[in-house]
Amino acid sequence: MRQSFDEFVAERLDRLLRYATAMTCDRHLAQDIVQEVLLRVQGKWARIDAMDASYLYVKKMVTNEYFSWRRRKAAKDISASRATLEAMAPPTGDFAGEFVERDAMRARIAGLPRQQRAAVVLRYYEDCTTAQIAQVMGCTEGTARSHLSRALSTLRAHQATADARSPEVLR
Amino acid sequence: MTDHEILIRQAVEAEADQAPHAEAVLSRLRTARRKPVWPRFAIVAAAAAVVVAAVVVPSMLKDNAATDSPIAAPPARVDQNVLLVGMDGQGMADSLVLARVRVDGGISGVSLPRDTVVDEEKGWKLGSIHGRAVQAAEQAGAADDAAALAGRDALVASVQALTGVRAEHVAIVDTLSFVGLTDAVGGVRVCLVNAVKDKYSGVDLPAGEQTLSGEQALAFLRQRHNLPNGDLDRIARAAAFLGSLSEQLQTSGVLSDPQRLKGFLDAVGRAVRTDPGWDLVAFAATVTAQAPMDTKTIPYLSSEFRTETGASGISVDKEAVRAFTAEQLSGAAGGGGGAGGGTSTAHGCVN
Repeated sequence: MRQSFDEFVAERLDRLLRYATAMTCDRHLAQDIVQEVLLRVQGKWARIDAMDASYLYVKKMVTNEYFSWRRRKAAKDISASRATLEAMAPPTGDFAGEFVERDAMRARIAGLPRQQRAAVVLRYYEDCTTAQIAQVMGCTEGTARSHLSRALSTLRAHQATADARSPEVLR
Repeated sequence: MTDHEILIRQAVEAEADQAPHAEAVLSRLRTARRKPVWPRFAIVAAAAAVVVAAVVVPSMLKDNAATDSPIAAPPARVDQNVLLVGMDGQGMADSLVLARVRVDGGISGVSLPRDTVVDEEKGWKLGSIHGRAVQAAEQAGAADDAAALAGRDALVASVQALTGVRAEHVAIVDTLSFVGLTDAVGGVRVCLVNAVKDKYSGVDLPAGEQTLSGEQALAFLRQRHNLPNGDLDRIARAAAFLGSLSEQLQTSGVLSDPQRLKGFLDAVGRAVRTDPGWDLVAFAATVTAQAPMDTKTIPYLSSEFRTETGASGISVDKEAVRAFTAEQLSGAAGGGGGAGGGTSTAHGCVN
């Protein structure tokens, strides 16, 4: 099912931006990356359109673009956005409990190394299989699995600490 | 799905909700001046065409011989002029090498800078000829195949007007295809003297021995900033990469595994487009793997030439170019000229 570049953009841009934002935890960076990649995609659309999984390929380009983004800049941006998130974390009442928990998780995810965060987003946002994660990240399935399990155990450990603390935090 | 995972899912979803509005990207997509996607590859892509033809294909042939596959008939033993073109993702020719494959198996070539001004009146440069012709044909309603042929013919004519030599065959290598070729052999090993990082090419690799994925290979080959010896380092990289690629092909078992061989052949098929009348396999058989390709750049008058449209280009004296081309392609140009195609560092580390 061949489509034009414009059709592809119309259909996928929102999803790509959401994916990139979830992966980078930085909407500005996500915009830059998606835009950069789409400019490249535009130039070689005929070739990409001919692929079986063009969306997957573009997603791979977006992911790679992020991985190779200047590390210093990205590190700074992530710690900044994490600080923002953590500032949101103090509970404002019982009602907010659920959101507090969720936003605390957001902050923990934002603190993961890039590759692990990408693996988490691919699994829990894009619903990718391990094989697809490996394909998008350009690594073996074993590596993808290890990124994922390390991320999950980090998130779980943090959550355990948070849960242990939560009574005094919430009350 | 555990509670833990549900929480992760909700958190990721909430993060995604922060996404910028699509319109912001759309407007920049519409207005952004399209900058060249791949910086100039110089001779890298052309070298790849030669390697695919000279190293990769014969090694497949050799292996197939053992399995009784049909082999192309022995090629006609005459000199052949071939035009090797490295094309970026947008139909611009990044690098052009006009090569003569002589009956003795030797190859010599002239490298034609893509910025060579071929039409002073219109300010057209060699690198844009193919794309212009394709576009013109498409606008006139030609189908894809016909438009591609128009592009090829225009390029061949342009090169003939410049050098006085008509290429009998054309091979076009898409630089993007390095990704597929590299992945098809399970990655290519290289060794870097120093860790490298460069925002233009996106390269970010540690020092030492390592296996590059397809995307990394592209960045590795594309880097042209921050190299201690500039273009020479890039040529050394290309030589090391291509040497390793062909070695990998021999040792990785790709050739003996039908499934992987098919993947590799598909990648080669995508990497190189030739004119229909050219049997690349037969061509490859005429090239002896040991034959070093001696390539020299055509002489030019000025690299600061201004076209009427104000773009800078390279101006040449066609008489001088023709005389130079004739001598260089005859193979009589003293062979070991030095800074030619590749002072290969074989298995050494590169910058």
